[in-house]
Amino acid sequence: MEAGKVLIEIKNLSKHFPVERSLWGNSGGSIKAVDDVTFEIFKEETFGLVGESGCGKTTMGRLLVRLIEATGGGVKFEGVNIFKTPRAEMRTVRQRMQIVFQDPFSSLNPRMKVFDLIGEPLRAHRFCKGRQLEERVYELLGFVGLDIYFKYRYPHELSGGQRQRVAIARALALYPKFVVCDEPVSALDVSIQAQIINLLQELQQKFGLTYLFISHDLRVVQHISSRVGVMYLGNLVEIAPKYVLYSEARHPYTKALLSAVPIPDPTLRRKKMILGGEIPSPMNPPPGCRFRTRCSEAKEMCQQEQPGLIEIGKGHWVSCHLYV
Amino acid sequence: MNKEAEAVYSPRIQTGWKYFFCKLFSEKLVAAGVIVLLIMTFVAVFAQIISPHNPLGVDISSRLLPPSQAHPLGTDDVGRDIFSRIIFGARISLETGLLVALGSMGLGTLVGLVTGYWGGIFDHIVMRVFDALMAFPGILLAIGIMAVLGPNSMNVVVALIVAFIPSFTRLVRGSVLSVKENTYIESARSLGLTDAEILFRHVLPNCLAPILVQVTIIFVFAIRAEASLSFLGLGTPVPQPSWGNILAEGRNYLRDAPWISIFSGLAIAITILSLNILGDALRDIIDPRMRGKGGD
Amino acid sequence: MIRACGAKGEIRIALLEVKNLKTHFFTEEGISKVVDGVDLVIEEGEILGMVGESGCGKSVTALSIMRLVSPPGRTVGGEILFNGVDLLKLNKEAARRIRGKDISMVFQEPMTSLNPVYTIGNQIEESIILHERVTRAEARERAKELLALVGIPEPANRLNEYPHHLSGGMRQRIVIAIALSCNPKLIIADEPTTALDVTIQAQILELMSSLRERLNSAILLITHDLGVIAEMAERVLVMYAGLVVEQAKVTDLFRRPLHPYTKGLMNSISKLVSENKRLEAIPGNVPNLLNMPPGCSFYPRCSYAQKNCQKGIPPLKEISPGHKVRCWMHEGGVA
Repeated sequence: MEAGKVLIEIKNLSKHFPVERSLWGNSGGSIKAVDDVTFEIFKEETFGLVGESGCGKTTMGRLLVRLIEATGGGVKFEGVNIFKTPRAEMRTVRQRMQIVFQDPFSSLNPRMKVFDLIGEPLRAHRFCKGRQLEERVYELLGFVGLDIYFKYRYPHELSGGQRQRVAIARALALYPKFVVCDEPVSALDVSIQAQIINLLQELQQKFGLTYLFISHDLRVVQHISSRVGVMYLGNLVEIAPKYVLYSEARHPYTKALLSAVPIPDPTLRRKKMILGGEIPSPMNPPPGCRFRTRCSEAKEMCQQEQPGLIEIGKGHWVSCHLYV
Repeated sequence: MNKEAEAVYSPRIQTGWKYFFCKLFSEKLVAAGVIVLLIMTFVAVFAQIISPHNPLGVDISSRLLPPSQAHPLGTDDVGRDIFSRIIFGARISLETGLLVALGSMGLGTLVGLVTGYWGGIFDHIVMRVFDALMAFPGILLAIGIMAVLGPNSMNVVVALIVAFIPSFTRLVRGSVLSVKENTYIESARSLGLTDAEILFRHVLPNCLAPILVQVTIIFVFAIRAEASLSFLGLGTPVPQPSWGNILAEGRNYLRDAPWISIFSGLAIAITILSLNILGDALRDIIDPRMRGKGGD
Repeated sequence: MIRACGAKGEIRIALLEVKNLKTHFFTEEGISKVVDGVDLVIEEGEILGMVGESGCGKSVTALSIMRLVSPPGRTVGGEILFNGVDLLKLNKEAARRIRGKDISMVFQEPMTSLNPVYTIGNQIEESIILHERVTRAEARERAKELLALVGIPEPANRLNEYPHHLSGGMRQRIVIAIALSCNPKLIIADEPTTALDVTIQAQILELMSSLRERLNSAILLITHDLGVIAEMAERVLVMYAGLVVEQAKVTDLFRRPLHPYTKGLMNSISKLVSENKRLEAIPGNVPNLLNMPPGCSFYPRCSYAQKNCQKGIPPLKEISPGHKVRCWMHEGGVA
């Protein structure tokens, strides 16, 4: 699925959230939600980003569309560092990068009709108006499989899947190049999830979109992505093309993660790699390799130094001392 | 709300005017409230036409007359027709109620939006000032302001607006604080909308319900406050008729001409009672519907 | 004692037998028949899985068994026989005594299942003292044992901590500990791992499995995740729109799903294998329970639908031993 050219370059990206001093004498550290992450997203691919709570994938998604400011490093979108772009220009850049959120119930303004929700980006950026706008909205409704009849409905009159379709139509309005999908199907029923995933794939084919698909559900990510990145506590620990990741994962965390996913096949009840312990707090990540506290193969070195991302195969990167 | 319960509870929520009026008239008391409001409005608007006499017309020869055909509610101590005065008093009450409710709503909401959305030092300062203002009982504050400004029906409006702004601000600010955490606000930002656009097109419409509720409350408070101020002589200046100052005048004649105080008092009582009932009904309609409209 | 044919064909004792359970919600807009004629049997020590999506009635079934349904919902019909006693006919006091002691429940949200103002020790002890005649000290000891049983490190220290000190996975373990405190014969677990991370989910499921081995409690495992069902359940019920539409041993269900909805669900999930076929989505949406289509409730979304499927609700028919389905396609089954 590689189109060869890089659309987004992420270099040493960090986001640290300061923790305020509390009455209990908290020394005021920071939550290192994303810490020194570097990778690339290629044109027209779907880069899947997986991880569990606190891994930073949601923060990453928001950073890539500059919904929040980075505390370190930068993101180059089509060669331009979006964090150094002035606000006014950013408005134009935003036309090409959009985001679809997780919760279809709260990501649409409950007081706006579907027509207005989809038309809003067109109006705000003065793309078109009047008859042209109306036609574009109808066109978008068609792309996401919603009947025109829905245009005067309110979000609360739609089902979860329908709302998510509206959110997708809204994201497509300005002909974006890049769409961040932040757990877009996690809040939906399984049978509806499949509908939305198929829709996203169709739209990608049709419009040559590039996706960053964030999810905690490995099964969904496996299906839709071309390459997958695994995050743990603010770091990227492994990146690989999809089939490679799922059959030849190298990082101990990735292996544990894959092993933990419940497979809908009772004949495959396999012995699981149960990870001991809990996910450490992002305020106080363990020094050295962050995963070592739960890793069955941790060595002395793991405590001293954090491993960097090293390429061990074609397009396969791992951050682990076992593979240096 | 868990998804399963949502599926149970989420059929088409009734919306629209039909539903609104249906609910409104479903109870006799509420209907009574509506009728009173309508009558009051009618009377206030057409006061010139309805009123049998000039409310300011002094006629010493007819002073302190009991209710009769010529003077349905009697006359006061300088011979002015009580009925006419009460009709014009309705106009004062309604005007004051409306202006104060809208004025404090407009200004209070504006301040609430700004402080809630941006916070910061401005927010701190404004809220502390308002805290101080709210420490005074509204009526005392209004009295104080009137003492400075001087008795004049416009000044009454100004004084009451100032007294009621903090309640709106606090309300709106609270709403804004919770609304701005919603994902659709992030979504608007991701589209590149400016803060002002977000504030007025996304935040404000979602704060409307409590604002509307508060408007109905303040409307009634304002009417009552104006009557109280006028009663104390600090509101609408005599000889302009206000229910409050008619009531005050009647105080001296309770034995000889009780009708002065009785009818003005009744006007105040009935109006406030019915408007309160109406307000309660409106709040009941607005609030449960908000639950359906995604105000979770 | 009622006997039933067990999962392995031998005679086992039925612990819970639900017959034709109906729980309806009486709302302003009409009557929502959330559970409309559900039958199920759980044997001692068995793990029965109940799978379905939003609005299918699985959670409300669980609440009905526990008699925790609150207005505007009400159980309007059927029998719930627990060890032969009809739970629906008991008075409130008797129901309360069974609740928490013989049948206990684990809910979905570990973050809100525990009261934030009481210590963990307090909450476990409360559950014990409520149902058994023991002293505070004895209850405390038992609480410590339970914490160790559910795999909480340093149990003695934990007793004095508050829930907000713990992560979701730990809290869920505490909730399980409370559920186990009185050695219940049946644990109803309603989406116990849905809100947890996948590695923590694996831990919790492993815990539940091992506890079931040790204590021989039966588990009614409710979830929307077919993967969890495949891993844990011995028998499975598939629910749709208030009814059981398929029932089978877990291996049979996955090998040969009979009901179009079950087939659709299985095709909606990726199996994490190499082939990348397009996911077959089930078109349309879950029906509005206030306004059900006539006949089979799955008809509008069914790719095998025939005209005569609308003639009425198909009965649950046994097609092969232990495998029942509610579908007009399989009309000619063993009665």
